[in-house]
Amino acid sequence: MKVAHLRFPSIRARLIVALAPLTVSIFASRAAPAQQYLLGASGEIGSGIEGGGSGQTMMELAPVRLRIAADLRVDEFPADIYAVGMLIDLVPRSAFGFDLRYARRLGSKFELNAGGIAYIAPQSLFGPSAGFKYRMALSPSAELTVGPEANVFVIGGDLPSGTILWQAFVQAGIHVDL
Amino acid sequence: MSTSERTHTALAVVLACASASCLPRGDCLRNSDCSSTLTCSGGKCVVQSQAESDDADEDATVEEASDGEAAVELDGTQPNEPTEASDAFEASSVAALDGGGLE
Repeated sequence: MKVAHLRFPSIRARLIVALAPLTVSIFASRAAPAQQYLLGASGEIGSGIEGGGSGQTMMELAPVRLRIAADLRVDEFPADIYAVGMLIDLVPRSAFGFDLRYARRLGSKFELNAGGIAYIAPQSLFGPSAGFKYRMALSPSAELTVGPEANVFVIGGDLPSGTILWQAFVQAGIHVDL
Repeated sequence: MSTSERTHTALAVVLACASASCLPRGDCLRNSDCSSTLTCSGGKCVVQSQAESDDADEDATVEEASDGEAAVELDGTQPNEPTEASDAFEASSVAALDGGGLE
């Protein structure tokens, strides 16, 4: 009596077969036709204290700052938000800059964000930034935002040599889903 | 004191402190706080070359402090300080001149 020899596929073939559904599902979910990019816009005004200096630390009131920002998120991952903001220091001196942030929604009312901040006029300042926001719904598409923000400028032509500059802000504004 | 009263008090203290002179202030925090010919150094607006020389002075001070003994050894004889050798040379010179003058 002859025993039929069963031919098993190679390990490579078995791996491909096993991973194919996973690969398809990953790419299919990213390219799903139902996926939508959701845009938002916000305007915030804030101030606080700032300090720096070598040797003795100095502090003073931070400039009053206007931040106008746009943000983007994907409807399938609404908690992950990418934002770019334009910064305009109004008083006591004028300055212009921008920031890039990744924000993470924590529930429906809170948000943590972190990124980089840069001023380009009157001179350059660059550094990391982090903030926290409390979002209070005003309407289905509009929210009032309030929260602190911390910035540290570590390089730039506007920094005195051998020093860093830090800022602690409290800001309030409105965010609108577009 | 209720929670809201405590919050009010804390806010009042923070605002009063932030707006009044209890913040340790300098003339400047950024270079752009100074006029275009000046830079910010140690919280004060100074001429750029002065800021650089201040830095150099600080470096020199640190170097002197660390090499204090070596500096004393190398610089033990002050330029205007009389020494035994110079006194002897001076005395012999005077004697020679005096001798020549007498003859």
